[in-house]
Amino acid sequence: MQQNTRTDADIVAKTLSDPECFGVLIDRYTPKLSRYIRRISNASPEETEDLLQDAFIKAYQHLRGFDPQYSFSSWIYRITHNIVISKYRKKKVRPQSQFSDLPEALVASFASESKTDAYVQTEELKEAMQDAINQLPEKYRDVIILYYFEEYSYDEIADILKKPPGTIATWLSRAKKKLETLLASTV
Amino acid sequence: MTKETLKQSIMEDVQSGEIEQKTARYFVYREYAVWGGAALAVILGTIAMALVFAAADDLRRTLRALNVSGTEGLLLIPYFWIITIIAFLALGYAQIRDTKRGYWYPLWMLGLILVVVSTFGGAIVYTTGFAHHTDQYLAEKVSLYRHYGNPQHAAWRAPDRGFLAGKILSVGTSTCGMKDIRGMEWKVDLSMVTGTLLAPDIHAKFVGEKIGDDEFKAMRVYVRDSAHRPSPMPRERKVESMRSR
Repeated sequence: MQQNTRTDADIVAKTLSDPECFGVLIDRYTPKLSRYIRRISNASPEETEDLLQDAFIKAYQHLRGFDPQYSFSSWIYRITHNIVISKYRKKKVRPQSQFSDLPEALVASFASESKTDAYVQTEELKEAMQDAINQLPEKYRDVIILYYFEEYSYDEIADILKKPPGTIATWLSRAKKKLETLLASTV
Repeated sequence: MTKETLKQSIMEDVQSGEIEQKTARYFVYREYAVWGGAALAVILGTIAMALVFAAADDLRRTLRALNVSGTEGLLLIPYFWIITIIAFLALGYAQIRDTKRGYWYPLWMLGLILVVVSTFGGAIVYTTGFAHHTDQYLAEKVSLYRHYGNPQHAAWRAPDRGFLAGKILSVGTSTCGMKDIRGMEWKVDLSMVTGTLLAPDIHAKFVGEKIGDDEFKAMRVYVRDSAHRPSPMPRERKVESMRSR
């Protein structure tokens, strides 16, 4: 119980001398990373587990390379992101996204005021939005998912994708414009 | 695999030593290697920049001496070194982006810093004469370099067209012995050229005409001193002969 209240950086520090503590990080990040993997790749549950296992193994192997000045969350997300992209690059197939839910913030950005039936409007919009997100170029889709679904800041997304924060802001802006265009033609 | 079995599987591998943490030293060396690679790329880019300065410095004189303009002049630009600069700076940029925080800086900022550093550094290296020495050495040793690295060397090694360049071997009263960049020895008649100080081991360029298989009559001469600084464009000058040392 006490381990669960410690920060990620504390647990990483402890894991360097006591590898058993790595289990706490696995518990903490399995749900988030599983969801993230499915969001960026539509992987099956078995594939998700394999990718998750690869991500944790790589994280463990590179734990001494983690700089506690920065966010462990961003660091392990970066590892996971790279493993997923690497796998699909080998297959030469672009991963499609799958969402069971859409963040309210994202839906609210694009909800039309002209329709009177709020339920239809939202459900229609959600379906259209899922398709539209899948039509975005990969880099725009990544920032939309990390910003709206994973709720990371620009700086954290910059650390995950290893791009300057200014580039992330530009991509997000372009992604939203592109989504508007795609949604305008369907909803 | 359930969540618990996933965790179990990983922890079993951790406990058995099947998976191990990389050492701290590995990451330190990796960071040094990346920064070292970046520094090396920038240094090589700087040297290439110095060589471009050397070639550009010669180019002005070459264009006037050889009376070349237009497309022919464009062919004398040292494209090889320009491409080399771009390649090394691109490599330096890629290395810096791979460091812990290098990716934080946009391309234009890193690119600008690299260009400014290599330009200033190249200017400093150029003033030492190192660039001209290197250029000359490569021209003498590598035939492809004469034509593609710095095409001015090939342009000056055209005695049939009245252009000859090389290293002075000996100096007489109104002649000198020289070796061109291909290693062929020439006897150069200096009776029509006045005022330029020639000495063994310096590099000189002659404009004139070929008068024999290994003889050349010079109408104009351009020299560099031992620090590879060029003489000003010559007018009528008296040749001062110096004995071989």
